[in-house]
Amino acid sequence: MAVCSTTTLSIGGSVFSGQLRRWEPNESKLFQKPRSRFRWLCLNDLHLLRFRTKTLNFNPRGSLLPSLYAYGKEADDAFLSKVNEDTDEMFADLMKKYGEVVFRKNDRKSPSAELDDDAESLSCKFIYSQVPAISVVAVEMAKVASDVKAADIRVLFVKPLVYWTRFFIIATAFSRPQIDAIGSRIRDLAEKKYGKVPSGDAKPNSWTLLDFGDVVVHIFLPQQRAFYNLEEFYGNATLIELPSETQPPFHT
Amino acid sequence: MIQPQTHLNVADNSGARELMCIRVIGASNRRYAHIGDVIVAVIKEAVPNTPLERSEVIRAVIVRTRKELKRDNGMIIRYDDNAAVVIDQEGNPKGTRIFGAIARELRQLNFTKIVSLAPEVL
Repeated sequence: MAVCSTTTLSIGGSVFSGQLRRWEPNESKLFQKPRSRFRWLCLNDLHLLRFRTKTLNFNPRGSLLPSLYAYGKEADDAFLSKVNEDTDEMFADLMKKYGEVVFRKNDRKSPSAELDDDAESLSCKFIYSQVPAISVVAVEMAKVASDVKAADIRVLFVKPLVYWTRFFIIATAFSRPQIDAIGSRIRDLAEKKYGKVPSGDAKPNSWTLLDFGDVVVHIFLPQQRAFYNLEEFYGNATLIELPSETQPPFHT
Repeated sequence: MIQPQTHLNVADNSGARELMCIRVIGASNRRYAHIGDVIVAVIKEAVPNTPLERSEVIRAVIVRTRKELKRDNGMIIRYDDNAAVVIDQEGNPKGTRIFGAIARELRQLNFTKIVSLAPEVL
């Protein structure tokens, strides 16, 4: 056991301390830790080093290193005279035995957090987490349109078909003032709540288009809606269900 | 580079088949039109029994040019033909579908209606 701890010390002291001391600004505090704890750590690290080299689980974000180095510096002072003469040989042996040294950084997370991170990047969670947010925006815009009595509102998820946008909202209005009302309501909502200003038609048009980037709103007069027939053109798009209040109950 | 007297194909189902540019809209004395520019054109050839007829003067948006289109990222797009889409005074397309690939620059130039009717956007 004593031998073991010495070899680890030499790794910690001679190899690392020189390069890595500058990573650890509060080194002096660590210097004063008791020796016994240091031994334990070293043993622990030796074990860890072996484990890592064997499993080839090189983690660039590990954090144990700075503390090891700080202790290593302390050890350096004590053991340097003994170690100096056969350092190179010892290194060669150690490298052979345990493999190349793995550099580790200070921002290590708990294993579970790391696992979550990896899973996140693998499953492209980022993209999927964005889509519902935008669909909420789209549904909200559709609701606003239905508040101004737009008819036959369809929200289509067109991302699989075209790359340039995610959602289409298609609505029918029955007059130009109504188109104006729907357009300005949706514009107000987007500007106040999401800080988005649409490009597209500024004046009410028989086919008014508001382009918010990820959401494109089409407001048609009934004649134009039948003429352009966008739903048929995007027939393969997924229809997003609107909450039931978009079709208010009709009381007679 | 479309200038007056240039003949263009029509990339929609409006009923026109061939156009001739007679004016480039923009500045006065503007020489050439590129993708996304509006021109005044005359219909040189039309499909029979359609709303548009030969020798009618219309507005059109250029959607494809033989002259290469350069993008900031170094991409260069060049088509095999000069083509335009017929629009009305409000900017709505006269046809209901667009044929062939078009460039995404049209969206930045506020022709999202044409983009949303196109089968392929480059």
